[in-house]
Order: sequence, then structure tokens, then C-alpha cells
Amino acid sequence: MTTAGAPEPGADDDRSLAQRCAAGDRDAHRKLFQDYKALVHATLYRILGSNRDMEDLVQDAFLEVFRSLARFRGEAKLSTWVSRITARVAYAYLSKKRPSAAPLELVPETAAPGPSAESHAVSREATRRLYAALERIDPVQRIAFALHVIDGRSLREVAAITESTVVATKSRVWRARKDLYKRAGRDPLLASYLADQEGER
Amino acid sequence: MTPFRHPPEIEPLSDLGWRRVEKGVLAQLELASAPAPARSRRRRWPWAAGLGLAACAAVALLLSLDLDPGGGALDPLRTSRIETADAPSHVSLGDAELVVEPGSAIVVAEQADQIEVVLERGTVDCRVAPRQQRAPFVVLAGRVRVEVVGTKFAVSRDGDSARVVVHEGVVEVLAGGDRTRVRAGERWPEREVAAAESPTLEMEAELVERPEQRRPRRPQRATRADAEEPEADAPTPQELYDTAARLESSDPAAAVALYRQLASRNGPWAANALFAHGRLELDRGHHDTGRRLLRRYLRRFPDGANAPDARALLADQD
Repeated sequence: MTTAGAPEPGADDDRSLAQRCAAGDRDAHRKLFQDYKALVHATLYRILGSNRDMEDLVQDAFLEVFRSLARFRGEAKLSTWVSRITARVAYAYLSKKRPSAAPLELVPETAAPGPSAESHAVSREATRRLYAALERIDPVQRIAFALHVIDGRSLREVAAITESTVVATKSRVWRARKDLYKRAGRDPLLASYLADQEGER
Repeated sequence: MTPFRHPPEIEPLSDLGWRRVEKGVLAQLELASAPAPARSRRRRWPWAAGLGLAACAAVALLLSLDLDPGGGALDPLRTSRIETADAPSHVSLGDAELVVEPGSAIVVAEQADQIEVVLERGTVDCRVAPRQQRAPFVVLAGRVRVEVVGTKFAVSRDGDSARVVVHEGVVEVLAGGDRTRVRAGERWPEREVAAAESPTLEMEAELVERPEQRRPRRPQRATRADAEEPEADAPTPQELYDTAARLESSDPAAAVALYRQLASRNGPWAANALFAHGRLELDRGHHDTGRRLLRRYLRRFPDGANAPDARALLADQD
């Protein structure tokens, strides 16, 4: 158990890396990029879905991370800090663009862990509809929903990432879910997908 | 609300995509750390500072344009992909010579005097003339970066890591934040554990086999006995498809046979297989066959996920 404001375990390594990056150490820049590129990409992907601008968004997120590192004191894990910055970049992106349906061809034809290829094809379409529905949801609620429900992060972690409280985060997730289910009322495939994901069959 | 039981799979970025992103980030950081012009004590030139900022912005814009393949700035980025099957391939990049070993794939990115080689799989042997004032010749393999100033060496990819052997000269290997100089006669990583010392490593070595060394199990024609008791471990359509995809470069005829088998069935794997077969035939230079297959794909699956690609490929052929 740590006291408020005290560094997290492993904070020395995080602080050291952050300081080296802030000081302009190129090897440190590369190391941080390699260490966190999967996290940044996954965070953006979960919030935004498949997206043509993904490379640019990953780049933007890292630039914001590097710009912010002079302020990093080690109170939170570096991974949480990186996720936080990345979520902000996603929020800025959502706030600027107009909602549009995710085109089918952007959804990858990759193998899903389902029992058959048919369920995989159905799952692909349902994912497309999920993200199309999420486009219509308030960005703050969408981010909380995506990180907690789709990505499986705890409410506490999502609260830390979104710089909010657990109670507020839970409320956002609940409101996003309510909105999503309302839209799914007109879309049996999406409704079935959501019910299956929640194990309510 | 509980998290999803089966969250959607995350579409990975390609190695080249990651390379572009990393290059863009590091270039912007380099610009940001460039020293600001000194201020004159006697007179202020705010308009000069504004010009300096504008110049930086212009350079940043040019750099970002340069990172876009084919995006026509002063020194456009040129990329090319080389994939080998059973025979090696020799590539000349100015005064650098590469041998791409069989069963390997590289992407070469050139911009002005910078050369970067992304090793996607297999092994590449490099002979690089001294770079002198030019940017180092770089080989990227997974999370390993090899910077060369003039030498002869080989890089083999191993998952996200790599092995480097230096025959002449010196290279620097950057991995996990550590920079190591590897000289002629040395290899990186240094220590290769003998099988007797570490049975686990030997087992791992057996598991990491090259795809072309693994033959697919040919699906058996069903017999009366099979119908009564189906083979418990018959490959799934997805496994057949994955096997065919792996065989494309080393044994395209076997890949074609598997795609044909899958395409004769129904369902999404049939669609995937039919498109892949058509695309493969085009790659092999069998244009009539490739076109016929892609048209068949569009007739059977006009709204299939690969329909736009199929139409684009057919349009290229016209």
C-alpha cells in the first residue's frame, strides 16, 4: 500500500526513462517508443476502432507523450501516464471529427477466436456496427466504455487514465451502455452481439 | 457492466507502418531539440524569430511529406519490397549490396542518402561500403536496430528479436535501450547456449521452424469408415487457409490446391480463399487465370470484404 503522492513501485525506472527522454536522449526516445507502442496503438484502437488515420494518431500520441514527460514525477505508473495522454489524443480527435459510419472495408479480415468462420464473419460485421454506434455517443462516455468494457481495464484504471473518479467513470460507462442498447434496439445483429459479449444468452 | 467476453481483435500496423511512425516521431523530436537562434543584445528581431519558426514548420512539413511514400517533396521516400522463395535474391543499393536469403522478405526504404532495410522474416546478408559523412545504413528486425557505417554482416530475424553476425568492420546494435558495438568475428547476442546446457532452448529451437519446412497434412478423402468416425484432428478451414498463405512463396502449387479446396465450399473462408487464389495467380504471372478467378469471386461475393480489392486488381489488368 502506498501513501498518496508517493511513487508507485518500479517508479525509479519510469522516472529515469522519463527524465532521459525529457533531456533529449535519443536512445531513451527509442526505448520508450518500443516499450509503449503496443499500448498506445491498442488504446487508440479500442476507443476509435479501425481507422485510416491510425498511423498519424499514434504519432500524435507519442509526440504528446514526449512533450509531457518533463512533468512526470512518478506518482503514477508510466504506462498509466502514456494511456492518459493517448486517451486525450483520442478525445481531441473525436471532438473534431463529425460522426460517420465505419466503412466495412476498414474492418480487417483477421481470424477471430470463434468456433467457425461463419461466426467470425458475423462478428466482423457486428464490430463494424458497434463502432458505428459508438460514433454517435458522447466522446467522454465512449472513451470510458471502450477502455472498461471493450478493453477490459478496471474502473479504477480507467478513472486514472481519464483523470476522473471511479464513481464518475462508472456513470459514464452506464450511460454509454444505455445509449448503445437503445441503438441496438433497431439493430438485431448488434443487439445479439452485445448480449453475447455480456454472456446474457 | 462487465467487460466483453471476446473483444474484437486489434488490427496490427505493418512493420513499415511502425517504421514510418517511429521516424516521424524521432524527426519531430529532433526538430524540437534544435537550438534556437541566439538573440542579439542590441537589437531585437522579432520578425527573424518568426521566420525561424516558419522555417522549422516548413521543414517539419517537408519531413512529414517525405514520410508519405510517393508524396513528392524534394527527396521523396522510395520503398520496395523483396520476397524470396527457394532462391536468394541479390539487391544493389548504390554501394551497398544485399543478399536476401531464401524464404526471406525485406522492405527497403530510401530517402536521399538514407537507406533503411526492414527485415520482415528470414536473413539478409549485407556488404556496405564506408558511409563516411552519409547517414548510417540501418537494418531493422523486430525490436532490434542495426546501424552500419561500413562493413559486411548478416541479420536474421527471430520473432521480435534478431541475431547479428559481423564478418568485416563494425556495427552498432540497439535493442532494449542498450547499444552494443559488434566487431568482425563477433555476433550478437553474444552467448548462444549449447543444447546440452539448456534442453529448453533446444526444444524452443525445434518449435521455431521455418514455415516452408512444414508440409501441410493433405486432407484425406472421406471413406465409409471416416464417415462413421470422423478424423478427430482434421484441419479447420482457417488452418487450411493459414497453411496455404504460408506456402505461397515456397510451394505455390500446394497453396493453390488448398485455396481451390476451400473455395469449393461455402462460407467466408471460401470467399477469402477464392480471392487469395486469384491474387496469387496474378502474382505468379498467370494473368488470364487470375482475372477469371477474381471475376468469379465478384460474382459469388459481390459484397465481400475483398470486393473493392478485386475490382482494383482487375482494373489494373485492363
